Amino acid sequence: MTSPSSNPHLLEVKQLKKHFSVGGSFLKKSNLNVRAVDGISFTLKEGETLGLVGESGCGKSTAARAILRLVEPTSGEVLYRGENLASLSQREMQAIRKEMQIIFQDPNASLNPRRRVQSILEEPFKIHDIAGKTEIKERVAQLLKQVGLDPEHARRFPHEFSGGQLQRIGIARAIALSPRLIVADEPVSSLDVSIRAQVINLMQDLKETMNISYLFISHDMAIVEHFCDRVAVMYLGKIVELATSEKLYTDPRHPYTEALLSVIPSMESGSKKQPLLIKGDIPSPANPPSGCAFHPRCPIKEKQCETTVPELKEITPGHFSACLLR
Amino acid sequence: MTDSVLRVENLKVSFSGKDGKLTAVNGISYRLMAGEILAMVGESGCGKTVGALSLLRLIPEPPGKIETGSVTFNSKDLLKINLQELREVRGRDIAMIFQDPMTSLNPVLTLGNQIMEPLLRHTSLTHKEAWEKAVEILRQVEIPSPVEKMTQYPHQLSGGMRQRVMIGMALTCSPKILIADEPTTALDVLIQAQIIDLLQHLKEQTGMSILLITHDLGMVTEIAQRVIVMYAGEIVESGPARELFHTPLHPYTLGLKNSVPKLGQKKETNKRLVEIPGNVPSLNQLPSGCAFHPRCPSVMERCKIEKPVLREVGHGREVSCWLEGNPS
Repeated sequence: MTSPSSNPHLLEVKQLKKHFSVGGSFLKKSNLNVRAVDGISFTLKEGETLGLVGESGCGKSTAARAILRLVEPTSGEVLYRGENLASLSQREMQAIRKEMQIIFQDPNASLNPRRRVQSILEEPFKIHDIAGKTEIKERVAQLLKQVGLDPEHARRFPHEFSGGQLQRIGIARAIALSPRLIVADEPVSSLDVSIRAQVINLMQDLKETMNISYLFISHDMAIVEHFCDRVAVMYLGKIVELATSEKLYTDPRHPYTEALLSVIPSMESGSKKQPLLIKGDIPSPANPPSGCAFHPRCPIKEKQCETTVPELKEITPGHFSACLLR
Repeated sequence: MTDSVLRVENLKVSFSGKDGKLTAVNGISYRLMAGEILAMVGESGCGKTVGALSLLRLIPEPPGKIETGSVTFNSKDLLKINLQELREVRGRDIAMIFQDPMTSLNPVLTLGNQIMEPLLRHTSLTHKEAWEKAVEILRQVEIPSPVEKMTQYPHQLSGGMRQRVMIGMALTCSPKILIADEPTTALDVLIQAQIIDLLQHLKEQTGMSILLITHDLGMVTEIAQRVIVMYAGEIVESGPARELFHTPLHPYTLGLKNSVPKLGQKKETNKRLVEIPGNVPSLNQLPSGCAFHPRCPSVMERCKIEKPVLREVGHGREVSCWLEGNPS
């Protein structure tokens, strides 16, 4: 086991796979596998923000859950500070969970409606048996202030808050134990436009004051560019492109990334590129196309794309892409 | 400018509930011109959907109630005519597509049956003719193997395909007006682009007018000619799309514009997004004066007491704000 200081990577994901079996029945084992996450690898440095983008069904949320071991990965390794999470016992895992937290997409569904905010925010301290009763109270008040809410709000129930405020409570719960890593699964998608900026700014502030690394899952390319240092684009369970956000947005190499970028409407007149209209829908991960999974929708596909599976290659230092033609 | 096909005057809609009466739409007036795409933008709860549903009297009454106003179409007031007449208008002259294609199709009827329903209801086509027309419509909205799809059920289609079917159904009787309530919100980005492209294409082909309800500002500048911005049940600004977002006159419009990160703008380190402080007010606790004043960066004393009225400022633009000149 390496000591934390000698390892520059907070998180290392190696060939992570999560397959779900579908169909089948009680007696007959299913032989149909949905390859939700099909061998993804990336690293996350201390204090870095990595964006994970893609359309619904591409496996980004499953990847997040598999990394945190909220679902057991089928194969592959997740190293947190050099330690393989899959090899840890439940008890060891629980200790490490203090350092890795998650923020969910829908704050309405992720906060217990029958408990007051006080009790929701006390939970992390109680589970990990940190601090006594009076100290917990103070910590909760402080948490609420930290996310821009009034400590008085601790007495209220979730339904008494707006969506943006609920997401702030979700964030307060995630930062309660001063984690090193937060996985944010579409944290602003369900919020109104004017509230999104507030929550993004809050997450940015926390990153700076608490030195948190984020794995930021989103389908909003503009917000990802603003918030993330590096970006991984997923398609059908695989990473098809990975680069710093600067490179990815100015010089996308994979046709899928190009398409995603071209359809973002711009509010400035004149600056609009012609959108690359991609035909068809995202295929089912239970029955992915042969060769490059993107080939049936790809505007530049050639014969070889139908049979050869492209590998994720480093084209320029730090810029990875999985396309046979580029 | 061309003629208006729909004229809404002083529409006011309220809902009564436990906490008394809430005014969801508070006296809005606008016109929809022939062959244009008019976008109505605003955040959730600003009354844009209720306003649109009320045009065809689709809000549940009670608890909803259309208090005042008129909706003039074909020199008839849709709020006054009897239900029989209204049914002739619904689906034939004015059609509607909804946000969620998953729940707005009937899961136990085949697509064919659902697309043929308005044809059999509103036209004198026989069953066979209606079938053929329905296949043609599916082809028009670019659905692959349309004949096969006629006998399939909604669950056999993806979200994007279902939204195409919804659009197809709305177009069966060649309506003059299409009301599209957040038609792309539930869809993935690439599919959104397909649907927007399809709507624009169909508009050009048929010459219908579209009232597009959305919160996606980028999409608005892309396809709409004119925009109405709503806040807390009222229109705060309206005008031609490009000009409105280029030089917003209302601080709320400016705030909306600034709070969306712009693509390709190289990010400077630690640059924060411009945020609109506070929350959308709830309808039973509307602030005094201008409803936006507690969140407004340019707030003045007057805004807290007196409510501004929508005034014309030239070039087809209107704004409801006490501020003279552009907000900053």
